Amino acid sequence: MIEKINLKEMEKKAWKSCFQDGLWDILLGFILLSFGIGPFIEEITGITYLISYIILLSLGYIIFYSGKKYITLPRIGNVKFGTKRKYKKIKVAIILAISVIFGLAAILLTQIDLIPYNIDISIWGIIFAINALIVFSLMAYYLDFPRLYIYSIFFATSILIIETSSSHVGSTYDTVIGFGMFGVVVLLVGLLHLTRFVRRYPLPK
Amino acid sequence: MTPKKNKFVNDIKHVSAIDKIIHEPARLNIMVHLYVVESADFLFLMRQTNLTFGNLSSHMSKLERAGYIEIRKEFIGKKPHTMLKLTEKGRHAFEEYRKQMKQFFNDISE
Repeated sequence: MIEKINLKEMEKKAWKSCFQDGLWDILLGFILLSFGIGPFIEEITGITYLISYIILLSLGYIIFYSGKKYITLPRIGNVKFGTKRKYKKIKVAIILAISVIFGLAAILLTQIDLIPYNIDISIWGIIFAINALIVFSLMAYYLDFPRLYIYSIFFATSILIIETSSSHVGSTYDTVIGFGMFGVVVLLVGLLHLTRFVRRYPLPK
Repeated sequence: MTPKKNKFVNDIKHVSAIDKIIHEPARLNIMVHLYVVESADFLFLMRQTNLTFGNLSSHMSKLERAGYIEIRKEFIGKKPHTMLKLTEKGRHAFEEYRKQMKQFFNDISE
């Protein structure tokens, strides 16, 4: 039994080493930030929020992939995991796909007036917050990435903050407060992990 | 032969049957790490096992000679890159080693 646990722990330790560089956090931070400051950029520059989403998301992905290629791989090397991990990754992809479909369906049904938008907006806020909580928690579980549990709370709280602050600060600044604030926090957590990672694993001579 | 002596001889047989190639701590460390993943490169193993470049290199060669690991050398850009993988023989040998060690410690506790 002890042997079994140790082998599992070894595999887990190897797997978790992929998340210690903080690059996933940085990517997630950029995603949250793009949601948060898109409408704000549109208001002050006139550039449609879709363009700022794309720019910020692209920037996040570029930093993620360049970071993995030029910072992580030269420091801790490369590893391929077994079939169990591959299946878990597929499960995460399915969960994400279902979540996106759910979101799109909700928006579509609202657009074609099958779901009246003004029935009670806070109900939608709660539904999307619960959706985010479930999706991120499942991802944290299947990816063995515990920080995602905290981020699931961040994401859900962001949505609820947006819903409650919208009537007070308007539909531009509510997202800045909600997604923007947590986006910065997640980004900073990622940068902190990245700094620690670079210090812990210097480039091999 | 008395039953007591017979048991002693059997215990000795168990010990001598243990795979000496895997039993060495550094090589066992490498085998365990390769057992839990599909494949890993030289640097990853060095980080995970805390072995030095020279140590890992020499143990790797011994494991390769025994047919327990497969070493694939390639170039990524202009840099050499070494990927390591446990062979079927190595995977089987490691499982056998675990069984033998379990058996050995069970016998001691009795």
